[in-house]
Amino acid sequence: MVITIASGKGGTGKTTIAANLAYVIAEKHPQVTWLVDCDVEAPNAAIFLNPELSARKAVERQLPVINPYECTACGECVRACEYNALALAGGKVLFFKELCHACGSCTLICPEDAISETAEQVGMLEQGRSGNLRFAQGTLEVGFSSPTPVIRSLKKWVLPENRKGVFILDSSPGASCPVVETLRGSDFALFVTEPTPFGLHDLKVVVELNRKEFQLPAGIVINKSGEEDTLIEKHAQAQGLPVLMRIPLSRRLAEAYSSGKLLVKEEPALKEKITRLFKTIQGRTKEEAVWKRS
Amino acid sequence: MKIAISLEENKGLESKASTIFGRCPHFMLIETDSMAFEIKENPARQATGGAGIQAAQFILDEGAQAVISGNLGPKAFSVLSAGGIAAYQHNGGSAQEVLKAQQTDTLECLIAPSADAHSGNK
Amino acid sequence: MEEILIISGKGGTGKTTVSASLADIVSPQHKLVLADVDVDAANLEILLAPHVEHTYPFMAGKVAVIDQDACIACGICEDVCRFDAVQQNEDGKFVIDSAFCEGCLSCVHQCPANAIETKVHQSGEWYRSASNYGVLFHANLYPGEENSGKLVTQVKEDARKFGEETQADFLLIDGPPGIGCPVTAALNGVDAAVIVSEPTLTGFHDMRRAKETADFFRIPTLLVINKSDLNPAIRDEMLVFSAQKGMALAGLIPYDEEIVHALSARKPLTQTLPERYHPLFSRIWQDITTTVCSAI
Repeated sequence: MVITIASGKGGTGKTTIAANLAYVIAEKHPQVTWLVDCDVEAPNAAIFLNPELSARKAVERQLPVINPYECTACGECVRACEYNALALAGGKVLFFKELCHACGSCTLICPEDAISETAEQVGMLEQGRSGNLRFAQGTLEVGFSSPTPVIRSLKKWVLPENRKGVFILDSSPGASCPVVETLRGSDFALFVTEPTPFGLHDLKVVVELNRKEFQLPAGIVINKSGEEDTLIEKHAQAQGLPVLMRIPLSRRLAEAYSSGKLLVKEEPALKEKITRLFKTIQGRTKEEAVWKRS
Repeated sequence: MKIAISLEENKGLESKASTIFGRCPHFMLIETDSMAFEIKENPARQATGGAGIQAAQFILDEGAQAVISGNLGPKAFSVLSAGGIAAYQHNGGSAQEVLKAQQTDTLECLIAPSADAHSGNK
Repeated sequence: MEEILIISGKGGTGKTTVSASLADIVSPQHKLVLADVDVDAANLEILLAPHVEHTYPFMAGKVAVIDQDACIACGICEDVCRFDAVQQNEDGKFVIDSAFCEGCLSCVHQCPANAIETKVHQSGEWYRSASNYGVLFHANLYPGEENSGKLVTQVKEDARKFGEETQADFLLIDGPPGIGCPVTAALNGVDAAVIVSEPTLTGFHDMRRAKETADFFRIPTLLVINKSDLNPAIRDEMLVFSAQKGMALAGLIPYDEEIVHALSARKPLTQTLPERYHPLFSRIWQDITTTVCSAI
């Protein structure tokens, strides 16, 4: 089972929920529960779980290398490149790595077979354990553009074909490409939000994304819950989405979070809530909840 | 000699010369012997990235031997210099005025990129 | 015109809340242009209540589309696609998912049946709006679209151009979270980046990555620590780090549970909780301008 934690808005508590949920599940399902941190631009889950890392794998992309002796300066590659990474000047092909999207189009199109490829590292994958919880994360190298290939490689590396086990995927904030890549192929989407106009606005975006692209069974967690919850509840109801859990606004919990502590260790009531949350998710993925179109 | 001039607008020789190279809306391509010219839309103006490179490739393919513009970043500069195109930096004015300045040798000829990448707007 | 960008590394540290409060402080004294370039989750409008005057369609780039009538189902497109955008559906037909297509058009060139077309794709829109704080440029990227930084660049350049034409004193830019393309596009050419962070392990971790990114582009940085008294030990480590790295300290904002409630009024904090936040943000702005002006 693959559960993706998403939010639209940053800072609502995705990683907090993901790490605590994974920790609780691993107690009941040791060795087969994974936390997979797909927020590759800023992976943070390791801060809460302190995993012992045992394996690494580089994520590479293929960049073109033009052989000047074979090159006839025909310009086919320059015309084919959609990103202006190639130019033809003074009878030579110039290559601008920063613009290259590593699509391979130039390599294929060269009529002289004058283009070969070389690997460039764009990210790093790591896996390990935190007690009975298995852990994996991807990190995008600073200065590189696309997180999507790193997320794709991370998922390919750790998710087995048969999907046996429980995989909690922590996604990045927003609702653009990297979130799409993380949600792809999941069984359940858990949206973490906060009861502010920002939380609501961004929740709508990611709910819409799920509705448009994946129609995964989904539920909402309201973090920093309090009097303002109705802001979220109204929209949840209109979309036919259940509010599955609330974490109260609490300075004490915020302080524990700030030091990288797992909240379920500080607060037994919260551990209870999260255990029930998982049971509910299990139930709903079996039912395959149907979306109400508004 | 054929010269390319980056323009902010399309108003013939009176057009205001642009200080932006990669994403200027138009280029004037003028034969200095006959003063015959055409103004073409810059194909790079809507580029997602590499606008300077694409603009440089465009004026190279048009057969220009020199370009008059504003700041040139390192990528655009490398394409132009590989193609043997001389680059001049103007101080404002119309196409007619900057052309005259280039012909009377009062424009700075760039021998290196004049700015960091993406400085066209500053 | 000075351009000041607000970023964070970590999401949710308070960029937009800070941006709106600064806009409220600055706009009475100076000519201000505003931009919200968090196009994935544009929130500044929630606090500034702008009135949209112009809407522009955003055409990101191209996507490839298979013409099923011409397709011979050879699967070469699936082979050449490096972005996993081509899938074979249950009927055995090859289909390109535009959510994953990056518009490289390699499949278009390689298709032996010439069965793949290129389409220009609207992936969002941007706006020019009027507000009580100044003209605001903002945008919305449609869900699932690629946030390459192009829309960020579009919004920022429009704002910049407008600011220069109207001789604005400051361009204040509410930036995106993270450190990827949207952030680098936002950093491009600004005079200073204010990093809004929080004294948490995660906040500090991401603040360092944001600083690294700003350094890569040689942009001077300032630090604002939100929820500053939540964890004094980590706050102090951050202060030491910022001093060592030459980041000016712009301000400390104490943890305040009333903010959650105050934000529901959809106004800057300097208006909903003025006694607390008006003086605080005035000082922060003063520190920002001192650093920015001395760096010129």
